[in-house]
Amino acid sequence: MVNASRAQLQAQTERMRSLSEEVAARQAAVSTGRRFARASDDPAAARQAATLTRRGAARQDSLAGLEVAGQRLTAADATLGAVTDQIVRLRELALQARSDTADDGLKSALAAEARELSASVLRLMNGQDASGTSLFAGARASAPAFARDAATGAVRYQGFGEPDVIGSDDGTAVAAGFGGDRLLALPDGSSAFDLIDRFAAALTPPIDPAAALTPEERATTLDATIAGAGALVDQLASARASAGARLARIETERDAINAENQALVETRSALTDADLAAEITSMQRAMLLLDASRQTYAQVSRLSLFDQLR
Amino acid sequence: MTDLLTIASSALSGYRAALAAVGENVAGADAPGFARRDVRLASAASDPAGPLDAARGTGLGVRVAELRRARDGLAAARLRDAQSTRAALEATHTWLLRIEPALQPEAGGLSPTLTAFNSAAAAVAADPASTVKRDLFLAAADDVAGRFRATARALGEQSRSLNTELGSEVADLQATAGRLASINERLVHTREGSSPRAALLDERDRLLSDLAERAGIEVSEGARGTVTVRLGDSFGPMLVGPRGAALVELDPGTPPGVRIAGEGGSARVAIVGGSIGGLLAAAARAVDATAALNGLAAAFAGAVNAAHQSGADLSGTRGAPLFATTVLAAVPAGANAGSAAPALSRSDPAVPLAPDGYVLAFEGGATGWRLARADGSAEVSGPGPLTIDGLRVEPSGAAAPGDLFLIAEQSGAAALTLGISDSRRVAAAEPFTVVPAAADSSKARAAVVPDASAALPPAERYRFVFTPSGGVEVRDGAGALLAPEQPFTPGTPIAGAGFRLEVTGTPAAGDVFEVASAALTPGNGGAMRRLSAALVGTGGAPGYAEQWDRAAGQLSRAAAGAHDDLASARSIESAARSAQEAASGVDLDTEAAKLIRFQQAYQASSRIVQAARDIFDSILAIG
Repeated sequence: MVNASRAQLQAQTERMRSLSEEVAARQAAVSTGRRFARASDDPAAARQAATLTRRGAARQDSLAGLEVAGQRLTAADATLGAVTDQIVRLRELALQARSDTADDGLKSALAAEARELSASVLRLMNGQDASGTSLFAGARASAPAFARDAATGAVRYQGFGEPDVIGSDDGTAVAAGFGGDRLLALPDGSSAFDLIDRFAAALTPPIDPAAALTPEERATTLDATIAGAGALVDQLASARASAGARLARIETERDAINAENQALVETRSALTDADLAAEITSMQRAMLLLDASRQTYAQVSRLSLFDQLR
Repeated sequence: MTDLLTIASSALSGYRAALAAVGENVAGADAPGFARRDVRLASAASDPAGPLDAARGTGLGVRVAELRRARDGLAAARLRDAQSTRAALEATHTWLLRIEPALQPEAGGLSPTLTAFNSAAAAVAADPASTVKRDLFLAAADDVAGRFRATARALGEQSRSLNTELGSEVADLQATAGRLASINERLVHTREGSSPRAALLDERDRLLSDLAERAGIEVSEGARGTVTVRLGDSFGPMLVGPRGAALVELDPGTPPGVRIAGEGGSARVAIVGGSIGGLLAAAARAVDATAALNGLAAAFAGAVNAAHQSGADLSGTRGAPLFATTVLAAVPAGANAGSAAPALSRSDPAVPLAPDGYVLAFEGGATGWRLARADGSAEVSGPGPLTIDGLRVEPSGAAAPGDLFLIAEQSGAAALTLGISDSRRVAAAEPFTVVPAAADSSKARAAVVPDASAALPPAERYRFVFTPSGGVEVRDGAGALLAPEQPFTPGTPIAGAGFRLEVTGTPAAGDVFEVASAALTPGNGGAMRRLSAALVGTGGAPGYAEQWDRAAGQLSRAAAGAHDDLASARSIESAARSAQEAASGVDLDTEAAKLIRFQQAYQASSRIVQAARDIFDSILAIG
C-alpha cells in the first residue's frame, strides 16, 4: 500500500475534483433543461439533433410554401365563384332578352347591365394575392391577366403560360393558380369577354341603322350567349373543383408535415433534453459522495505519528 | 578506553547525520522533485596498516557509508511519460473547448444561419413577387455573410491566442532546458553521496518533470548523474546534451510548429506529448477548421452566385453575384510604430489589380507616403491620397517613418460580403420560360437552355412556329417576323437570344413554342428554386449547413475524445505517481518512527560516551 502523503493528497483531490465536475455538469443540465451544453459533450447526439433541426426547418419551408399556395388557391376559388355568379347572371340576361316580351327599353337596360358585368368580370379576373401576384396570369404573374385594348375595345389575355409551381421536389409541389385564358375560353376560340361584348352589341341599336341585326341574327347571338354562358359555368365549375382538390391536397400535406414535425420535435427532445429526475438523482449522489470524501479526507489526514510524539 | 570514545563519537555523528536526513525528508515531504534521503551507516573498518592497532580486538564504530536518494529511474521515466500524455491531452482539450464555441456557438451559429438562409430562399421561390420576402432573403444573406466573417474572426482570435500560449510554452521549454544544462555542468563537480549533490539531483528531477510537462522526452542518464534529453524517443532531436541545451523556437506557420537548431541549421521537429504537443494538435485542428470554413465559404458563395447569376431580377436583367468574395485589406507590418490606418477604395474597378498586391510605406519628410506594386513595377508617392491601378489609398492617423502596410485582396470566409442591396435585384426568375402555344398534336416537347447565343434580336416573347415545309420561323409577341424560315433538324437546338431551344420529338406543321424572357415573366421563382435546391444539397450530397455541421462536428468529436482520453490519462498518471512516490516519496509516519529510533540510538551513544568517561575517571581514581 502506498502511504506516501503527497501521492495520497493528489489522488484524493483528483477524485474530489472529478466529483465537483460531475455536480457542476448535472447542475447545468438541470438549470438549462438541456442534457448537454456543448456539442463536444455528446458529439453524436448533437450532430443528430442538428440534422433533425435542419429537417424540421425544411419541413417548415414546405409548410410556408403550402401556406402561400393555399392562400392563392383560396383567393382564386372565391374569385372563380364570383365570376360564375356573373356568368350565370349573363345567362339570365340573355334569357330575358330572348323572350318575346322584351322591348327596346328592357334590351338597352340589359345591354348596360351586361357591360357592367364585363367590367366586373375583368376586375375579378385581374385579382391578385397579398403580395401582388396575379391569380390568373399564368407565369406572367406581375401583370394583370386581362386588359381592355384601347383601340378595339376588346378584352385580351395578357398572361403567359402556366402558373408557377410552389414547393420543392419532395412531393409537395402544387400549381398555385390558373392560366386565365383557358378558364374563359369558348370552343370557337373567343373569350367570355367577347361573348358579353357580342351580347351587349346585339341589344344596342347601332348608330348606322343599316348595320342593325335582323331579328334572326339577334336570336342566334342570344342563343350563342346562352349556350356559351352554360359552357363557361361548367368550365368554371371544373376549375373550382380542381382548386378544391388542390386545396384538399394541401390540407393533407399540411397535416402530414405537422405530424412529421411533431415526431421530429419529440425525437430531438429525447436526444437533447435533460431527464430532470435522472439528473437530480445523479447530482444528489455526486454531492453526497463529494461531501463524504471531504469529511473522510479531513479525518484520515489528521492521523499522524508526529501527533503522538511527546 | 579511547576505542570506546571513538566508537561512541562515530555513532553520534552517524545518528546525527541520520537525524538530519529525517529532518530533510520531513522538510522536503511536499517539494517537487524531492527524493527521500536514506543514510546508510556501515561499520567503520579498523585500519590494519597501523602498527599500534594490530592487536586490537574491537572495531571503530560506524561511519556514514552513503547518503542515498531513494529513486527508481524506471518509475520516474514512466511518470514522465504519463505526465507528457496527460499534459498534451489537457492542453488539447482546453483549447478545443475554447475553439468549439467559435465554430458552434450555443445560439446563432453558422449552421442555423445557413438553414435560415435556405428558408428565406424557399420563401422567395414560393412567392417571388413579395417584396417583404425578398427583403428578408437579403437580410438572411447578409446574416450568412456576417456569420461567416464572425466565425472566421473568432477562429482567428483563438488561433492567435493559441499561438501566443504556444510561444510562451516553447520559451519555458527553452529556459528549463537551459537550467537543466547548467545543472548537468554542476553535477560533474559535486562529490558522490554528498548532500549538495542530492539537492542538485532533486532539482534535476524537478526540471525533467517540468520538461515532460511541456513535451514528450526521452532521458538517458550519463556519468555522475548528468542527463541527455531527446525530444520524442531515443532517436529524436537532442534537447539537452553534453554540450548544453539546443535552441528551440516557435515557427508561427500554418500550422504552427517548433524548430530546433541543429548542426545542419534549424529544422522543424515533431513534438508529441506535453503541453506543446497538445497545443500543436489543437492548432492543427484549428487550421483544419479554418480551411474547412474558407472552403465552405468559397463553395457556398460560388454555388449561390452561380444560381443567382443564372436567374433574372424583377426588371428582367440577369442577376449580379449575390456575395462578393474578395475584399481589399491593408495589413499593417508587426513593427509599425504609428497608428495610421489607410482607407482603401476602388476609383476604377475596371482596372485589374496587381496579383501580388501593393506595399504602402510611410517615408516621412518631403515624400510622405509611397504606394508601390509589390513586384516594384510601378509606384506613386505623395502626402496622399494615392491612386494606382484604380486603387485609391487614403492614409489617415499618425504614421511613423518606416511604417509599412501590405495591401492585397483577401478571400475566404473573412471576405464574404453581400453584393447587392436592392431587393428588386434579387434574381428569382428563370430568365426564359417556354410553353407550347398551339395545339401540339405531335407531342413534341421543348426546353429552353440559357446560353450566350445571339441569333435573334432581343424581344419579350419569341414564337417558334413550325412550317409545313419542315422548317421553323420565329416571330415576336405581336406577330412580327424576327427570323425567316430556317430548316429544322430534329436533335439540333435552335439558337435564340441568350438561350437555345432544344426540341425533343418531331414537331408537326403548325406547332408553336412560345418562349418568354424574364422581362415578361419576372414574377416566376424558377431560379430561386434552383438556388434553394443547391443549398439543401441534391442527389444525396450534403447541403452547406450539413457540411458545416460535419466540419465543426469533427472538432467537437476530437474534444470529446480528448476529454475521455484525459480521464484515463489522469488515472494512469495517478498510478504512475503512486509508484514513483512509493519509491521516492516521504511517508511522514515512517519518518516519525525513524526519528524516534535514531533519537534513541543517539541518546544511547551519548550514554556510551558518559560511560567511557566514568570508566576513565575510575581508572584515574585508582592512583
